[in-house]
Amino acid sequence: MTPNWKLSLTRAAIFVLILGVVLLPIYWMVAASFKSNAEITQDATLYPHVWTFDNYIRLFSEKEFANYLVNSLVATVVSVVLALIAGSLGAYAIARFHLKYRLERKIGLSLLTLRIVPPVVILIPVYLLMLSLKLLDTWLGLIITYTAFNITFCVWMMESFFREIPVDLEEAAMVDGDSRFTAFRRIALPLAAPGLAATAIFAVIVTFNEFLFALALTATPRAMTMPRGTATLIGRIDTDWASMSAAGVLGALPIVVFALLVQRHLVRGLTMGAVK
Amino acid sequence: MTATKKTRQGFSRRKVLKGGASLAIGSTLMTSLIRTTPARAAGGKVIIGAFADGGLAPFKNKIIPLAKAEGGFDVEFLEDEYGVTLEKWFADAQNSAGQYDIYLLDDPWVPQFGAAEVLEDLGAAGLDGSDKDWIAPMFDMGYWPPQSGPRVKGFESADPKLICVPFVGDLQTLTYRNDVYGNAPPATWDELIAKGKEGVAAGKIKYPVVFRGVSGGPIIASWSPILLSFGGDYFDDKWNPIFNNEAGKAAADFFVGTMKANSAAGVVEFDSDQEGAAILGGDAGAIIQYSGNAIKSDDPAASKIVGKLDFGVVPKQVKAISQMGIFIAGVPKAAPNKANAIEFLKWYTSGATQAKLAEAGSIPVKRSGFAVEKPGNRLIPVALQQLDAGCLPRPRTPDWSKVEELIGIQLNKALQAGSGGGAAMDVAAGQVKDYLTQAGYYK
Repeated sequence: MTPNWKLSLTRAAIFVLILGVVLLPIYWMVAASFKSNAEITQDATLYPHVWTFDNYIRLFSEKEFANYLVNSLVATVVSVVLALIAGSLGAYAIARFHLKYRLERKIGLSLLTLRIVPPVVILIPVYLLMLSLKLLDTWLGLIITYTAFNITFCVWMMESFFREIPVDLEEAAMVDGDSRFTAFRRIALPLAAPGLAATAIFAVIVTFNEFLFALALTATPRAMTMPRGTATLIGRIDTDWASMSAAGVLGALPIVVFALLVQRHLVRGLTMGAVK
Repeated sequence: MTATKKTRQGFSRRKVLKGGASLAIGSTLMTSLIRTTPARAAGGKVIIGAFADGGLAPFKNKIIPLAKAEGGFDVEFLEDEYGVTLEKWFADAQNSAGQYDIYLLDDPWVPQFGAAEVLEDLGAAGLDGSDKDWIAPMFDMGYWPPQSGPRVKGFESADPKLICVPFVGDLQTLTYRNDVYGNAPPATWDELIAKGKEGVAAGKIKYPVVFRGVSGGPIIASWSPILLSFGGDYFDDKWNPIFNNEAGKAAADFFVGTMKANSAAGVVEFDSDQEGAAILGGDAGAIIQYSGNAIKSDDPAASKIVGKLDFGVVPKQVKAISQMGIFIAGVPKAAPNKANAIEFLKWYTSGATQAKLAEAGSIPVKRSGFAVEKPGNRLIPVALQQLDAGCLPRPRTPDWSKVEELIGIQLNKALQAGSGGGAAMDVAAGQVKDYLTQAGYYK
C-alpha cells in the first residue's frame, strides 16, 4: 500500500510539474491581458490587482485587430480547403497508381522537400514572385503561398491513409459502374475521413500561426494576419505588453476552440491503421 | 444497376443547384480577393508607413484628422514593428513595390536609402531648403550625401540632395526626481551621482541613475550622451575611430564603473522597458531618455510618481550634449501617390502645421513650432533648450548599425565586469577600424 501511495504521489507531482510548465506561460499571458502596462512592467504581479478590459478594447478601437482576425480566418480556411482538395487527389494518385521505376514514390518525396527546406530559403523568391504578380499585400497572395505549402503536407499525410484502405473496395465499386473518380469520392474519401480531419487540423494550426511569409508578403491591415498584426505592437523604445497579451489571447482562441471541437478526430486520425 | 449509373452521371436539379451555388461562391470569393489589392492611385490619398512609437501618437491622433480637414488629405497610417520596418521598406523601395507614399524613417536609416538612390529628391520637388525656420541640425540629416562631415566612399564629390525632411523631432533629455535634485536639474554628472546618493540615503529612491545596458543599440543610446558630454565623439573627419581617445575612455570608465555602481543591480540586462519601469516606478533618481518615454512621466496610468519628475538638459562634464534621433520622412521613387505625398509634406512642414503639432504634444521640426503659447507637453520647451545646448545625430554612414554593434558588445562586456571601459574602447576601435577597412573606407 505504501509503495503505491508513494508512486501515486510521485506521478501526481510530475503531472502537476509538467502541467505547470505547459500552462504557466498561457496563464501569464491571460493574466497580463487584464493588467495595465504599468502593472506588468513595474509590479510584476501574479494576478491582475486592478482588472482592465482596455487592452482588448484598444485592439479593436485603436488597432485593426478585427481585420487581422478576418484575414487570418479567410487565408487559413480557403488555403486549407484548397490544399485538402488538391492534396487528397494527389495522395490518392500516388497511393493507387504505379509509374515506371516507382516514380510515384519519388514524386511524393520531392513534394516533401518544400517542407524540409527552411522557409526562409524560399522567402525572397516567393516575395519577388508575388511582387511580379502584383499580389503583395493581398489575400490571394497569402492563399496561394499557404496552399502551396499545405498541399505538400496534405499529400504526404493523406497518402498513408489511402494506402490503408483496401483497394478491393474501390474495385468493387468500379465493377458496379463507378468511375475512378466516383469510387474515390464515394468510397476512398469517406473511409479516409479521420485522416482528412487530422490533416486539416494540422494544416489549420500551422497556417493560422504562420508568421514569416505573412511578414514578408503583407504590409497593411488589408491583408495582415493575427500573428503579423500582433508584431506591430512592438515599438522602437517601448512595447505595449498589455495589448500584445490581449492579442495573444484573441489569436489563440479560434485555434483552441477548433482544437477542442475536433480533438476526437485528431486522435482517431493519428491512430488510424495503427492496429490491424 | 444501369438506372443507378444514369442517375449518378446525368444532370439532376440538385446537381445544377449545387454547381450554381459553387460557381456563385467561387466568383464572389475571387472578386473579393482581387478587391483587396491596394489602390494604386487616388485623390488626396497618402499612405504613410511608420514604426510603432509613442513619439508619433500626437501626429496620429491630432494631425491626421487635421490633414483631412485642412488639406483634404486622406492619410492611411500603417504602423509596423520597429525591427522589421527597415528591411521591409528597403525591399519595397528597391523593388519598386509601391506600397507606401512616405516612409517615416529612423534617421540613421537615411544613409542606406540615400546610397541606394531609391528616394525622391524633395528639394527638386519643391520643398524649401532655404527656409531658416527649419532646425538646422535636424534638417541637415535629410541630405545625402551629408552637406558637412565625412562622406562614405562613392559619394565624396556627389552633390547633396534633400531626400528626406524632418517629420517629428526627438532627442534625449534628462528626466529627474525633483524631490531629490530640487527644482533645477543636476548640472554635472558628479552632481547627479552625489545628490542621487543623498536621495538614496534619505530613502526617496533606490539608486541615483538608470540606463540601458543591453548589448548593441540600447547600450550605445545610453552611453552616447556621456561620450558626447565628456567631449568625445565616434569618428574624425576621415572615418578614423576616436571614441578610444582620452575623453572616450574616461566616458567609458565612468559609464561601466561609476554609473553601474549607482544603478540597479541588473542594469547590464536592462532595456527600455526596465529603465522606464525604474524611473516611473519611483526607484531611480534620474535617466536620460527620448521623448516617447519621457512624456509618460505625467501620465497617471504609466507613472506612480506623477508630479515628482521634471525635465532638463543633460548633465555636462565638458559640454551638455545629447543624442538626436528624429523621425524623418522620405518619399520612395515608386510611391503610388507621389504628388499627394509631396503636397502633404509641404502642408505638414509649414510653420502653421508645426505649431499645431507642438500644441498636440510632439517636438516640432521648425523653430516657429516652439513658439506656441501652449505646447502640448512641458517637455517641448526643454527640448529646445537641449537643441540649443547641443544635440548630435548618429554618424552618417550606412554601416552605423554594424559599428554600433561592435562598440556595444565591448562596452557591455566591460559593464558586466564593472571596470575596463577604456580598454574595451581600444578593442572596439580596432574592430571598427578593421571592419571599415574591409568596407573600403580608407582607400
